[in-house]
Amino acid sequence: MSPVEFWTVVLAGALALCAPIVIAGLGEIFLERTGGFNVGIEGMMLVGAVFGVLGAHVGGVWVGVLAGILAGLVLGLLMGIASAIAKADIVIVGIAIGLLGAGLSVFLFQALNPAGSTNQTVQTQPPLHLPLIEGIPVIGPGLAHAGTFFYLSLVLVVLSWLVLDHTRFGLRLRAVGDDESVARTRGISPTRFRLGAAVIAGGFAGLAGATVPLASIGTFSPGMTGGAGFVALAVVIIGRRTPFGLIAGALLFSFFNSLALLAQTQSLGLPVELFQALPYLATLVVLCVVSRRVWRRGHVVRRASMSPTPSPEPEGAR
Amino acid sequence: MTALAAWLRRRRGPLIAALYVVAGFAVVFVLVVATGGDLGAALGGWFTGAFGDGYNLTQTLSNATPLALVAIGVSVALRAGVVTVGAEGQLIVGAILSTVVALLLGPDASPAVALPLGAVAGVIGGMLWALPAAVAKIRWNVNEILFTLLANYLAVSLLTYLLRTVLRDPETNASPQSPPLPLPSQLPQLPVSGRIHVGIVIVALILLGAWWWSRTRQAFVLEVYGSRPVLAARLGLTPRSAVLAALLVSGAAAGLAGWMQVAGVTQRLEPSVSGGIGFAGLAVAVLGRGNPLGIALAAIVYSALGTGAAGVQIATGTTPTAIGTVTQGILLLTAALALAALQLSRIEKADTIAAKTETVPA
Amino acid sequence: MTASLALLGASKSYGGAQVLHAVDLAVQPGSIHALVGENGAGKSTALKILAGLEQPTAGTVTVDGAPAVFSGRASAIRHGIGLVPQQLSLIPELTLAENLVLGQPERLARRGRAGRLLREAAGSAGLPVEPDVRVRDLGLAQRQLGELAIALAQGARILLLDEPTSALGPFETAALFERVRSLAAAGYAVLLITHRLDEVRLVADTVTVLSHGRVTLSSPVADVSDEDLVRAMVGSVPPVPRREHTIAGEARLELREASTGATGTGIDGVSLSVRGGEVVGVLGVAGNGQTALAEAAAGILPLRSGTVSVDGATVTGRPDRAAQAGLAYVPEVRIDALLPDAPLTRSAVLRTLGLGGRFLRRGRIDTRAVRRFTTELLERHDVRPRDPDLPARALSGGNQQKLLVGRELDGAPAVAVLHGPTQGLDLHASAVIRGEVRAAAAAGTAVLLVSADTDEIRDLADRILILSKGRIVDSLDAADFDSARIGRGMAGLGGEVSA
Repeated sequence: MSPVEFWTVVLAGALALCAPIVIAGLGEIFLERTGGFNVGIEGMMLVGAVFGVLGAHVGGVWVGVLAGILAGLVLGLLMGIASAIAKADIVIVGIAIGLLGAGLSVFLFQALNPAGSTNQTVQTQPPLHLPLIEGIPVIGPGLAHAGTFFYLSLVLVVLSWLVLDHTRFGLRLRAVGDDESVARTRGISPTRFRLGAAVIAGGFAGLAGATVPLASIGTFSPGMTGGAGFVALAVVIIGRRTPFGLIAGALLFSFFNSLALLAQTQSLGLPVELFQALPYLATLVVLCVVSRRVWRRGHVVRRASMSPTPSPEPEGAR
Repeated sequence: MTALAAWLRRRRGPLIAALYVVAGFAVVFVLVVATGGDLGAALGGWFTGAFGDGYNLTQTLSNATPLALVAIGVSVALRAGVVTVGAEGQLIVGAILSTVVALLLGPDASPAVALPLGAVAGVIGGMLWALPAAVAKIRWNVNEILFTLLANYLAVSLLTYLLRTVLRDPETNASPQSPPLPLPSQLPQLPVSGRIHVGIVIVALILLGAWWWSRTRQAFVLEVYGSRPVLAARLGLTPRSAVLAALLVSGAAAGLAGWMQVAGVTQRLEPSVSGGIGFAGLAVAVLGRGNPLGIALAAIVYSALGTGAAGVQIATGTTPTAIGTVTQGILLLTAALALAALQLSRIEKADTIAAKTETVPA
Repeated sequence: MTASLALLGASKSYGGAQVLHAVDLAVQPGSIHALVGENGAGKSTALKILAGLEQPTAGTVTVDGAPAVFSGRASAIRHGIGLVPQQLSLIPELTLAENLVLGQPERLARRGRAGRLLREAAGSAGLPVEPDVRVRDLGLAQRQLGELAIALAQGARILLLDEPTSALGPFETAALFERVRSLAAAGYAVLLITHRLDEVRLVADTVTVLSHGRVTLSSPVADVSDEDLVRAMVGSVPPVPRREHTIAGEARLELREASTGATGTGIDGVSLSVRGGEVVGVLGVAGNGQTALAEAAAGILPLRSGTVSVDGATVTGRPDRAAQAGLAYVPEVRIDALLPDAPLTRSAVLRTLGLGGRFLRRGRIDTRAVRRFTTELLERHDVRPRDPDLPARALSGGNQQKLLVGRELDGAPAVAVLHGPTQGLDLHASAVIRGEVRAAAAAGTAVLLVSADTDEIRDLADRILILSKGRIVDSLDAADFDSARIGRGMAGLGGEVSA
């Protein structure tokens, strides 16, 4: 394979793979802007995946997508009520929902597909061909075949940016995360916004999970999200909690992920496990660099405080 | 207000907590019934699967052992406000190092030497894998939850690679695994029905030691660090030391559990050596409220939910085994909610007392 | 004339404690009404009710004579009630225009329009305002003006100003009052909350005094004397004991050219020394580097350059070394030095646990000794309630401070750094704390007292340093106390001096 062909394939893979991370990350941005942190994102995605397949069984791919979103909304609501209203620690609630979601996805899968029965495939995303773009060197084929879900994620990125930056709702949301007591004085209810942000995060996570089986595979298998949710958490911080930064981080991860997939079929000189580790390693390195730069800038102005930083707040992301 | 209503209102915290627990049970029962299971049979099946028939009981305790060990390490970190979910990776690296040491020592070493060396290797491995997270947090303020999470994936890749190449068992052509550990490096099994190794005794001793440690000055200062870092610094604990101690101790515990896995349970290094113990360990640490007795009980209950699930499936015929994981998640959730309710009522009581003295001049 | 805003027989209880007792208060249009009282008298509760943040448990709020019920701050804004709170209510991350958008009924964030509204509203009142700068980057006085402009832009006809001058120096205060007077002249109704009687004289037309939640005086300002006001506020003032002891020779606390290097509220080239038995007061308006100075002196804040030493040992940025050298620290936010949810037995030993083996028995904590110490501490310093198992949260502010000061000054430490130790305390608790400070000095402790309260400094200090914009700009002996000179120093006028 020539170098140009090689990188074209890798890039095409990166674009096709990044949608779940981007979508899940967008929901997480809303949540982190109110001061939250969703450790249970992976469980929500798995529930979204299984409901996505179930819904698609019933009424086709878009019904599946809707089912995934609804399932995610419910779990998000659960997390919101538990953390914002009942004031339970959001990290522990997140772990609980992660376990619950993962278990529930397998539970439903096993209940509706008892051992022995064959796995039916469902309708997947509608094919999207963009012949005009295909001609562009290197990235053309990737963009042309990235699929509906990829472009859906881009639309969601723009929408999220509009909401966060240009609506009163978005400003209020950011106010809650910036200074909770001041927000309350201004009549903004932190509880309500945290609850809302959790529901949004859940919905996005459910949608992201649904896109995993419904992109091309068409079936559910336990644990099929493969850590994409956790990666989204890291990528949100790398992207400084902005929708456009998120895309950059997600593409970084997907790029290496795609490379790893290619390494499985072609011998690339280095052990395949190294390529499999590379996406996580790259993410980790960038995470350190980003946290360090933000920390350095904030350190000069920030004085040593006697009070601790609130527990779930992801440090290194201001 | 009637006397009953007033009594209820005063105990609002515990009442709400109890309500959460009841709700949790209700959800589980609904799930069982929804999949066609008879509730009575399910409960019976669960009990049999978890505690019945000697073999099952042993299995439950055997599963609870590494869980309790990891949880006690995590609880030390939680005292300092450090949330680590990296037990999986630390366990893997501990297991790898123990395997290497065992294979190097060979079948002619004395168990009195091989076993402690294996344990030490496990501890070192776990600490090694936890160290980067500590450094990253201290130097660059990197969120430790994310770092340890990502490090888990790296450990899995490392394990797969080693099992495929250097540590591969030349005898088998099937799934990649290491050669069996030489006999002196294997932990002896306890003479009961089912498989359980002496590691449970080691863990029990560690729990005892943890109880003693919780009364020391170090434990106190570490906990102060969790809420007031500067006050802890005045008492001699700098943030650097606190984070290092937290992550290294939890890493050591997980690494030791890794040694127990290869030396006691599987007798060889396998790809599925860890299995989600990171989150489970944290769950047990929270459920056990950070104290050794609580952790022991919580570990047993938690693993009983897992082993009992198979019994439920057999008894009902229709309820899937995943009911175990679902119940574990619900258990943690209700515990978190109940704890929050209790704490809120405590805070409310304290604030009322403070308000009373506010208007009365001293 | 109908009052623009009034309380009629308002009472308020929290849980079992009644904070306001049938309070009557009226603010007329086109006038400035001062609400005065000591801390804990109920001023802030009354303000919260008027601003719509709380509901009275009895009595009514009227707007233009008609009873009104506010469901929250938003509905109070709709009635035209603007609030400039003491703790400024601007989101630091956002600009003034965006902060205005937060309260608007429109869903879309139209920054341009909000900016124009602000400029118009501020311009008509003669206030300079920059709508598109992030609040984080504005100075304190500018933020306050921004709050005022936002209140005006939201259509307020009634302005509630809560201790607006606490962060301002004399010249900025005068400028603010001039603007407030012109607003009143333009027909606005202004309620000014303050504890400073000189301000009441300066700007208010009428005054109401609250004491222990009751109205003790209500009259036009011209008709009452200062003694009347003081008596209405506090009843009686306990006598102030004078210092008797001598000051020992060597400097026990020394700062040399201490600089934090931070822009904003750091310190720059501060040098000072405190001898054993001496009380050095550092006086300055809030926001000029007090916290940085206090934390640097306590060894908590690392310095860009310069050193801090206790009895000759360098402790710069090393709280552990400072504690070993015998440095005690009482921070401004007192709950930061206590464990809010742990029993008092834990908070009580936070300074001395393990020092020289105290409270330890065979490597473990001697819970009985700790308990004994705690009970004795509570007793000696009159902390109420006397229960060592209560969480620190269950103590009122004054009792927390008594415990904290008692713990820190216990056993005559080498050095004590105190930041605003009597801030927010009623006169009796305040007198107790001041007595403790004097006792510590008499026992040989070198005391560095950082404060914004001129009375506190004047009462306790042997030597006074003026802190302005992070620098020591003046130094004088307590005997040479001169209000004008101090006022100039605090406002940033006058040359730099090292102490």
